[in-house]
Amino acid sequence: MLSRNVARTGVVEVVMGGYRLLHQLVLCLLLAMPACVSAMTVAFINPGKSDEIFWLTASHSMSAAAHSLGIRLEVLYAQRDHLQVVQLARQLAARTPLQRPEYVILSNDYGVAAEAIRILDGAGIKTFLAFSGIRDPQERQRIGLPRTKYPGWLGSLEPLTAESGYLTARALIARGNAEHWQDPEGRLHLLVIAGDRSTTTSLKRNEGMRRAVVEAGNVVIDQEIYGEWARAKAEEQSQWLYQRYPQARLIWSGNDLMAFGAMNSWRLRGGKPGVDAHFSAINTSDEALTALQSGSISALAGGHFIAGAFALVMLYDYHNGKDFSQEGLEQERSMSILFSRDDARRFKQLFGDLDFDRVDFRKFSRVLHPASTDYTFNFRALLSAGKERK
Amino acid sequence: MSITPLQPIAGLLIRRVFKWVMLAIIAFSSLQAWLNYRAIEKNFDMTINDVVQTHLPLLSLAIWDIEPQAIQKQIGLLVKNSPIIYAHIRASTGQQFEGGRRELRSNGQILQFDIPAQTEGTAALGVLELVIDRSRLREELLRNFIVVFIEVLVLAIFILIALVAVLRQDLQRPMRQLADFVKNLQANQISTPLALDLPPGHAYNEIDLVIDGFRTMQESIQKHISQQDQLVLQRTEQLENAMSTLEKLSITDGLTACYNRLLFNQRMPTEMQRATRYVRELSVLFCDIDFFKRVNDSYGHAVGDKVLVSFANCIKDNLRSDSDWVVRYGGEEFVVVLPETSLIAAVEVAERMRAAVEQALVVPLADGTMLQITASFGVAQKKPIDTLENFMQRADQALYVAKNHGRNRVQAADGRVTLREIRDRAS
Repeated sequence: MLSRNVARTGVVEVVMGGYRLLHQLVLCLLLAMPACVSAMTVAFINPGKSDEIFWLTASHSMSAAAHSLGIRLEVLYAQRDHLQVVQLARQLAARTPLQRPEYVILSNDYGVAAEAIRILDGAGIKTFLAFSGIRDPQERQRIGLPRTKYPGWLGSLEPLTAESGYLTARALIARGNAEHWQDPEGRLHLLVIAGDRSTTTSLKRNEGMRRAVVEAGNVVIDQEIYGEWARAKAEEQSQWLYQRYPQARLIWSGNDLMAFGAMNSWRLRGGKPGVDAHFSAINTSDEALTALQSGSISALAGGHFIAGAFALVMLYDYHNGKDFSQEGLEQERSMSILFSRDDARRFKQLFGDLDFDRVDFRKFSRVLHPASTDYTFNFRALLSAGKERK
Repeated sequence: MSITPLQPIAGLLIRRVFKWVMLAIIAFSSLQAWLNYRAIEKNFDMTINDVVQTHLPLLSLAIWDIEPQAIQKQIGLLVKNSPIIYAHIRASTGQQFEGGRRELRSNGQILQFDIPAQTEGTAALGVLELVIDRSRLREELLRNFIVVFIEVLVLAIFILIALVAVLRQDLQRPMRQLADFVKNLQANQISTPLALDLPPGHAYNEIDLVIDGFRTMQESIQKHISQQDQLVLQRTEQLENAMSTLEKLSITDGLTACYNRLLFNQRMPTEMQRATRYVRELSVLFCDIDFFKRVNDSYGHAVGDKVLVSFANCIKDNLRSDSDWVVRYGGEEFVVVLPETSLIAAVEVAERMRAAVEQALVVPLADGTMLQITASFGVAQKKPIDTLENFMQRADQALYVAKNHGRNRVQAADGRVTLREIRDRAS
């Protein structure tokens, strides 16, 4: 710890242990206190692209959390290349002990976490999974339970992903029923533009959407396609879909970008999203919130980007002696909400430029609030937390 | 010997074989290539069909799932198959995809396939149109033909090489050696053994038959020649004998074995020339048996002959040397030629002969009586100016004189009557 501080400040040439200790003390007096106590170092291997709105939002909220908790955070983008995740893990492991982060947060997108954890654990770096955890039985076999096969793998925190799929689908179906868009047999026709065929997030959101469909009872999914989360692809695919299923008016999308693509092609056909067709989206991008406010998007859920920030809170507590093992090593918590227009307005007000510094993430720490019995990780709490600071 | 250019059998054989082999190669290659073409054509169609059948379900899935990239990828894979130069897909919803080289569309065969739906009984999801380049097939055919051609050609070349080697080693070389041997064979060396330089491990073949035949021929020729030599020798001997006999016969008188007139006419001029050239003396005796006619008439020819033979022997017995010779000149007339003899010496010789005849020549007759025979001699010595005629004439005249003077006497030419007179004149 001490030597790391010295190395990071780069002020002192270390000659002898005694001198180092002395210098350390001097520095402690000179520098701000929190940094001295224990400046945790965390690296986040972001699976997304550095210009991808969801992952950018995630990074920004994590930065804000790190800032408020006095953690040094380094964000590395894998640019949606799953091999790059492993590559980045290797690079981190190859760093000199002084430059290594103490913790690495990763997401199990594309199922590469097991390999990355193996590499990092070998280098003695502690790891934590956020956003996407271990689901696949084969992966589970490889990696075991946290703190067993790989002692450094501390645990995971996943948003209740299915929630956003369920909430948006339910809202969309409700709109369809309200518009009386049933076919002569009394069934509502739904088109599904899912993310991809493999990631947990995609599967979970679809699962949630299906749950809503089953609950509704009168809904038929005409076809489910995979837009790979991309606006352009969804736009092209939706054109085909509209030609194939001229009667379909309800379009559920796995994220906001694909919804925009589908809406765009609907407009190109002369349609008016929110009037002659209803679209749902997931995520809290500015564009999505605006579209919700304008009415072109009929249902929007989001907020699960906050999983990374909450993961940092849990690591902070762990680092400072309050392990989360009692609450469970692998946690799944409800984080997203169905946005009302009011929520959208408030969100934009609070975090308009992806600036989450108004949120004081310390309020979620149990180290700093010994009285709290459990974590309250949900988006409503965040919106209200932001509100308090206004 | 006229020089005809050598045309080796090996060369001829190889040319012939090569010609036929080439024809066979072309024939076989063509046949093989044609068969292959059929197979390839069948294969070709099957391959295309296989490729299409492989891709159709995937295409169907890609179209159903609306995966434009996957559709494009499938097209890419389709046109990677060499005969497919262009692929085009029109989805039932109107979207179009293409891959390959559009500009080559015109020179290919167009195949169309329906892209089946994912579920049975629903309409096709689209149409796949492929442009097939048949020229690939032709290239394949050509390639095939070339491969077969090269295979057969290499085989043929090996066969030819083997053939050439065999011909060279087992035919041409031995033949040449044989020819050279025969060419250089001298008549007197006919028995030289024929040994060819044959390769080791050589098997007994026609060449050996020829060699054996040749050896047999050599032996028989050798035998024949030695027989012929023997025969020639024998014949020559016989001939020589016959010749000498004939010669004897032609120059001697059969009865008395004295030379005959023919020889005299041949030899006498020579004797005379020699005497003239070397200035030697030469004399002749002209002898005649007295009253021979009477003997012949009285006692018959057999007695006459006996008398003649005895007389001739007598004369011969009294010759002095080999250089003296006797000729039966006529019926009972003999001429004795005495080279290098003077008249006197000749007269002496004549006298001795006369005496010998008188003493020895008694012919026993059938009635038991003895018949006394005598002879007269005319002697002449050659004079420098003498011709044969007048030389002989002088001897003849001397004989005539001796006859006229009572017979049983020697008469020298030039009027000398007796030996005594001659001696007297000499002394």
